[in-house]
Amino acid sequence: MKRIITAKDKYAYKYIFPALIYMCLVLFIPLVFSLVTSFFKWDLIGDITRKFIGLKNYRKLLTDDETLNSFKVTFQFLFWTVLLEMIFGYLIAAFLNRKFFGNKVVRVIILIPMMLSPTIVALMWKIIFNGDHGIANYIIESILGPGHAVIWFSKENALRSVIFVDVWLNTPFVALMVLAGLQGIPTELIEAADVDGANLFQKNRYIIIPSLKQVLLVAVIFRTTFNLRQFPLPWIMTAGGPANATNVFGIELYRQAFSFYHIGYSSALSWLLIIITFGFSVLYTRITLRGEK
Amino acid sequence: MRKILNSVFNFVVSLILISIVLLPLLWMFLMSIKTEGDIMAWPPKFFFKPTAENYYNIFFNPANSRLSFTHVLKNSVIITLITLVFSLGLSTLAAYSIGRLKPVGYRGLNYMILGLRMIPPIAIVVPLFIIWNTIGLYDTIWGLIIPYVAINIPLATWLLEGFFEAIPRNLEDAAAIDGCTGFQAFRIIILPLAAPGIAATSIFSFSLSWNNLTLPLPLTMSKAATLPVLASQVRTDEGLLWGQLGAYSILMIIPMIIFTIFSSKYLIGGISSGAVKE
Repeated sequence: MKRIITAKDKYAYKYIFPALIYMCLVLFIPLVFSLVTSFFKWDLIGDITRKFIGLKNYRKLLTDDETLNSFKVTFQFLFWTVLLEMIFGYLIAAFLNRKFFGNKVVRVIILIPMMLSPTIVALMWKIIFNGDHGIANYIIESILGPGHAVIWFSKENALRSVIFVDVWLNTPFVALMVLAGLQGIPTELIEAADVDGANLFQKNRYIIIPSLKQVLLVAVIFRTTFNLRQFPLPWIMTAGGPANATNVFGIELYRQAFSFYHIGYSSALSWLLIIITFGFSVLYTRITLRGEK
Repeated sequence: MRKILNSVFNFVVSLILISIVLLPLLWMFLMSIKTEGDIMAWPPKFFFKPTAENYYNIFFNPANSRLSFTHVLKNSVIITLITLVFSLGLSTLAAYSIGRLKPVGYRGLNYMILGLRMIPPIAIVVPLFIIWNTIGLYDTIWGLIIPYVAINIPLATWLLEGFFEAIPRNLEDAAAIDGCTGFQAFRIIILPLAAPGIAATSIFSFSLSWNNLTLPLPLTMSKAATLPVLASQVRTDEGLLWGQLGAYSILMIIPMIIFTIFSSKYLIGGISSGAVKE
């Protein structure tokens, strides 16, 4: 439905413009700058002359072994973190939506991880998982007996350890969102279903899940796109190692830019990250909209 | 019987959740009040004579001579507070407009906000590094505040819209009948009702700039470095300096925990039920 712009609309725009203009200036200028840069060979050390090379940086993305490995690691990281965070987040939200003594205390405590700095969280778990002095191995050996100590940051385990910490850190975000969604469902709706004799499954299937669809979608989009750009956790815990086993996309980008000073190539990586991020968002939105028809 | 089982279930699950969250933090805290000898002890010591030496050392005898804790703490506080004020100011206005006034094309604007929200900060850090170096904003407080506000606005607007939408429809009409101008209606009637939402949003904005490592790590050197940068540079592999690191962490975590507990009542529960009795 098309409407002409009225005085009322113009009045409403006045409230939006300051934020919009600010964001355009601060976000679009660097984005355009980096798009242009991505077509250049530009290093800050060695040969520092800028050369236009067209799409060569983008071609390198698809052929460079280290970058390709980084895609694989990122995909594994994304798959497990998003899956586990959604499952645990939903279960915790459903649990916290029950009425019981101490409920409020649990809710407040559950909020704590998401308010902490990923830097601190990464350091905390790095110390807990430390091979020689870490409490994690002490507990495992106390229960399972000596010799069961885990090398948490071995080539095999490092990614799992980072996934574990990401889930610890970000599940509360999902739980909080889903809980807000659950509380947004009018109680009359549930009561009406009770009166009609609906069982727990039916209530979930016909009332709760449809009402939560929007919230679940947003949570999945947020978790996917945010874990896609995950940088501080693996940076502190493993710095991408050992042998690039945890070299997620954020680490690859950061190292290309600030360890090797490949400004042109890292700009191409930045744009690839942006494109993938938007791809995910559009995909999820499409899927949900189709489900509604 | 069912009631008892229910209570036991609730209690056990609560206990598990609380332990998963708090035990690691408790371990970190214990480390911050241990001497280096106690930290290195094997098996780990659960009972020991507490010491304040780690906290004393980070203020008066820092391990990292390049970045002093007090200086970095000051940076973090200033940057976080200025970011909070600017981003909440701009996004409250924008969210009120999109969430409530709903002008022509508000849907498009909403998608644009969400789209901007999706831009990964790590993707703008490379161009910012080059631009800031050119115009002299590298390693300055404003060099961090400017992008923080930009990253904050989409999230804050997105969160606030929901709160504005939830405020009952006919309030502005009532205000207009009482002779309020549009902005007066916003300021006097709507803003106070949105206060819980603004408080909740401010926690996220606060944590975003207080906790962020992605931007300050490449964009600062020493002058404008923030707490996460300092923490990220402590070498922990050999078990060295765990006590000091614990002390940094606890000092950094405390404001966040206080903020969370203080604002949690706004996060929890409905925001405006009963504002208008139909």
